[in-house]
Amino acid sequence: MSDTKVHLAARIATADFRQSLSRSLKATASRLASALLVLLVGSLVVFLTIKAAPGDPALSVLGEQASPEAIAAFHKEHGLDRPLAMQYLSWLGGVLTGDFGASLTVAARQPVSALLFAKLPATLFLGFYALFLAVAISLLLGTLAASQRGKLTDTVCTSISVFGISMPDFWLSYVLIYFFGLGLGWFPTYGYVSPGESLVDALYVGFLPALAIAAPMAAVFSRTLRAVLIETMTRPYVTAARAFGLKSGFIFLHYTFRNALVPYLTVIGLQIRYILGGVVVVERIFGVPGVGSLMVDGSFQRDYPVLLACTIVFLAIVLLVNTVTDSICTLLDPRRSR
Amino acid sequence: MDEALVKIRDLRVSFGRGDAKTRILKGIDIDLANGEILGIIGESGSGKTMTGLSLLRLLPQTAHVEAVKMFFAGEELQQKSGGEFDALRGVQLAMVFQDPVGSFNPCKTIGWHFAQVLRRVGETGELRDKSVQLLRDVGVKRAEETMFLYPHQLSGGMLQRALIALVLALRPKLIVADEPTTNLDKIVEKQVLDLFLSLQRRLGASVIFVTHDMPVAASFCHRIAVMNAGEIVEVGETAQIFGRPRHPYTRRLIDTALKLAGANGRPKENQSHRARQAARFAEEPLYRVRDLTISFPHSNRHGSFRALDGVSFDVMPGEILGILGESGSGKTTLGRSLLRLYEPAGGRIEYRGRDITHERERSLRSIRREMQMVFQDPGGSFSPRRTMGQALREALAMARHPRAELRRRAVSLLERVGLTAEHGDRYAHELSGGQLQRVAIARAIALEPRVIVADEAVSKLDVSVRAEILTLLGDVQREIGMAIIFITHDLDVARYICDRIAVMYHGKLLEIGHTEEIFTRPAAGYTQSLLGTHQNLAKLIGAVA
Amino acid sequence: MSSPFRQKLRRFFSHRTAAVGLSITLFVIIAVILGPMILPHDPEMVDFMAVLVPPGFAHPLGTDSFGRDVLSRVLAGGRVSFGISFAAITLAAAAGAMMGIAAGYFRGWCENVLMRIADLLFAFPSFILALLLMVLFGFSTVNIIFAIALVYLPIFARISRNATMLIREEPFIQAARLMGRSPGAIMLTDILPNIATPLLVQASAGLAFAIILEAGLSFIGLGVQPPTPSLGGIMADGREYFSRAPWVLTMSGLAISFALLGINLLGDGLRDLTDPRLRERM
Repeated sequence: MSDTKVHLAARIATADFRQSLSRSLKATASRLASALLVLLVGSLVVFLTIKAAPGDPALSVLGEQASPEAIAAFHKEHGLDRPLAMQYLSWLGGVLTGDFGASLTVAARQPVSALLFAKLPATLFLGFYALFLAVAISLLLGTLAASQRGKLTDTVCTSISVFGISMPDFWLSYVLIYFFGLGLGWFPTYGYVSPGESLVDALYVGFLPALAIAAPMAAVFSRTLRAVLIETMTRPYVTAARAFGLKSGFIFLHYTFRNALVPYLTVIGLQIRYILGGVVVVERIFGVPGVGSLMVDGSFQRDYPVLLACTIVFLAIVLLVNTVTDSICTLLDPRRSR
Repeated sequence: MDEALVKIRDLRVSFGRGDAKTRILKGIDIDLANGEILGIIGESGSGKTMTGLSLLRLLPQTAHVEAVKMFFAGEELQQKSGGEFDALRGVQLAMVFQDPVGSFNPCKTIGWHFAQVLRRVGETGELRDKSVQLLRDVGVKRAEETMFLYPHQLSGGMLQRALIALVLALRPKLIVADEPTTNLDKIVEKQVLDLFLSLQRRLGASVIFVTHDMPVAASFCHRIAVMNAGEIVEVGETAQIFGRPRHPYTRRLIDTALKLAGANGRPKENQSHRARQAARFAEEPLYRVRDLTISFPHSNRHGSFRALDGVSFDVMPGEILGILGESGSGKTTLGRSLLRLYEPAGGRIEYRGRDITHERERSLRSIRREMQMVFQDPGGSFSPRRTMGQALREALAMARHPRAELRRRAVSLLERVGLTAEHGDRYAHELSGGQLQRVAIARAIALEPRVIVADEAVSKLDVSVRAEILTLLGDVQREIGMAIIFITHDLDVARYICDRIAVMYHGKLLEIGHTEEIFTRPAAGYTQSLLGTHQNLAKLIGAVA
Repeated sequence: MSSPFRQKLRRFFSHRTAAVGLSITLFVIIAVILGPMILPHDPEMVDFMAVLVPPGFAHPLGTDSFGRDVLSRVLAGGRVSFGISFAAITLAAAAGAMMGIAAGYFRGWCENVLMRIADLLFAFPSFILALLLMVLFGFSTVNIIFAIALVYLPIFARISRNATMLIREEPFIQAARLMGRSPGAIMLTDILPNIATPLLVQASAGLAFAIILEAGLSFIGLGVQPPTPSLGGIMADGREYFSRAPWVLTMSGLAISFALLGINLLGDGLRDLTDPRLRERM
């Protein structure tokens, strides 16, 4: 009797887990599909915007005094004389086979995909390093502030956050360079070590730029976490848990924090678009050879294939991170995975 | 019931300090014997909920609590440190809340909650078996499976049972129950109350039962404390409070409830009323609804949900047609579809012989003025940024009254609904629920409608003002002669005001007929069981034979 | 009779964060408007006799490599930055609110089209989108305003749509429909005033982000072009000779942080006062 009962319970539990896993996998798949669609439409919009922009790339590459023949040759070489739809389709076809076209700048003329391939790891490393730092700092500050609400700790944490969002990343970079690099000499202020070479060195050298990107985000995240935690504390189930006499530490962990996690993660997903913005400027200041630096160089030279490719890559990263946070939220929140 | 389990003297609760101080409880005394059920009844804002919360130290930290005496089982609660109190709460003192859905951690299964609570009272070993047994004790049929479900997968009634099972596991000496059945449907409410009573008998626990529902209090409690504005105005045996109330406030509260419960006779029973009713049926119906179906898309899943399923009936000019049903029965959807606030998925709506089933929004605008609504939530009926006068003048302007007369007419409307000109300068948050509902009626009649849909128009009001608003609505109806579609879940209210009643259940119209016929000879099985659960206050306290 | 607005005003001034934030913000606004008129130095006047003078009596924040007065330049640059950000956020809020309210009120295909546009804009990293638009359409002030506005448009559109959806089913909106009022009138007089508060809170937060965005663009040289002074431009200059004259970068950095602090505190105060979820019960 008892055996069958346990057996039944176990069966229900496995079935339930399998169901929720398959549901969340299905949800993730459909989210990925819609992310790909956004990416496709996004690439079309960027492509058309670039074409609609005033100014002929041939002029900016060859110079204002270029002969009509040279311009025509340039157009022919880069396929700019074909109809727009054809240009887009051939670009898209190239992208699907890993070919982003050739850089326009005469000096470089390299395939964009080679440039991207060389620069992407640094950007990804720096971006995720910063994201990790921001999450870690915000978990600490936000939890401390919310649990010590109204006390000195709360005031200190909240003040740190307000100062954090009042420091633009490029300005913070110089403050960090000045204090921790030049002043104290704890960290190098320029350069980049690939995590493939040495993870420890990469983390060490990359610390200041990652922190510069992370700090404003950490401030935003911890303010969010504090607000969500405080809001969750007023929920009736927290009062009910107290009425059952459950321990306050247990209630904080399993009721308050657990339920605050989903809105917190949602905000992280939404903020990723700012993190990547920070990457562009900070990469330049610290001399990190990443996609951000590539894009700024491309901007000065009006190198459209490079600009297009960099924009699409950044768009893809945002969509990917959003899909991942969304899927985690679905797994964490039983109400969503119906 | 020999010795006192709880003895409270001069309990005061306030929020804020200095000028901003608001006093919620102004010195109340409570005595509760072992095994006794004390009902605390009162209207919203009377402080009845705060009494229970302060006893369990569950008030927010901003609350300031003081009392001369706060004894529980012979011990002074106020001297207990946080740790000592934590040891008491849950084990000796337990609480059942109004909102069963909100009382569960949405991220955890029902089984998880049982494991935590059983561990809390020192149970070890096969917690799952014990939990399943507890769930069975409270009448949950598929207890094993329920253990693995999340709160959002269960109904409110089921969750309230589970919550009671959790309290059962704690075996407390005192249970504070704060409106434990208010959010439940009538039929479920009856079951949960019976369950609660058997639990109380089994544990021999004392209960503080906070409620605004007088029939429930009358049938359930040994003694009653009546609260008003932070004070207990009267305490006594249940029979005394309801039979011979001493305090004028108590008397007013009970008189209103009795009036609605038909203690003074039923106006819809008399002959002249019947005759008028018959005359109406000779006329062309105001609405002719045939096979009406409304569906809403599901928010998460594909497919759709049928809120109304093949509903057919007529509305006669000048009648008050009640639409009776519980939450989710589709009664609100029905009312709104008559005003074409929803697009029907099937069937036909004819308004004065004109087919408006798929009428375009633009051409609806011209006939909408003839159809007005009075809403459940008086606070939400007015834009928070506009005064009552502005709202009324806006309505009058839409009814094409000359600009110069707007102000004068707005004032006369306010006076018609029993208010004064100075209420016209006020904002929604500066008026009480009853006053707002009067202005809402004024706004509706400003447009000289042929039909008013009143959606639970008195459900959010306190009992003492309910009768006034119903009377006003009835008076206005007789004077202007529009039809009223009166949507309600309250049997007393429906019987008090409606000429005819339609009973809704799961999107279907079960039966429609004259009010007294429905109440005395219900045809549908559902109507019979609904009426069976109804606790008539008048009968309960023997006010009528 | 006290209007809800006046009550809110009174509560606002008794809130410390809000009051401090408003004071700083007002101080900064007055400084950048009046400063360039009062100060003796022209922000663009080159003086090779006074190159890289440290802060002192004649030049409270020192001079830069062209001998230009840093204080004058910071204030003039602040005026440009503030003006651009303010214009961009106003534009974004107006257009975003229009989109969001229409989407939330009409639902259906209108919502689908408008919100997909907003979603697409929202998926681009903010700085990247602004950068791209600047490069493509040129570095004029008007283009910076449009670029920043486009970056913030989806946020306002989302907030207005969500807020509109929340109050769309409110009785007072239904009552207005039943009176026979036109959708335009309902959106303008019933919905907009009642969702203005979250928009205002978002606008103050957006203003701070817009200033950062504009400064970042100008800092890498893809924003406001010299000789027009801008905070980002001044800081970029200061970085060049940071070791010889640290005051240029430091002072302009402190100035921008001070202004941002004021705006952020103001935004926090507004949020505290208006978000019922964060307000303490009673």
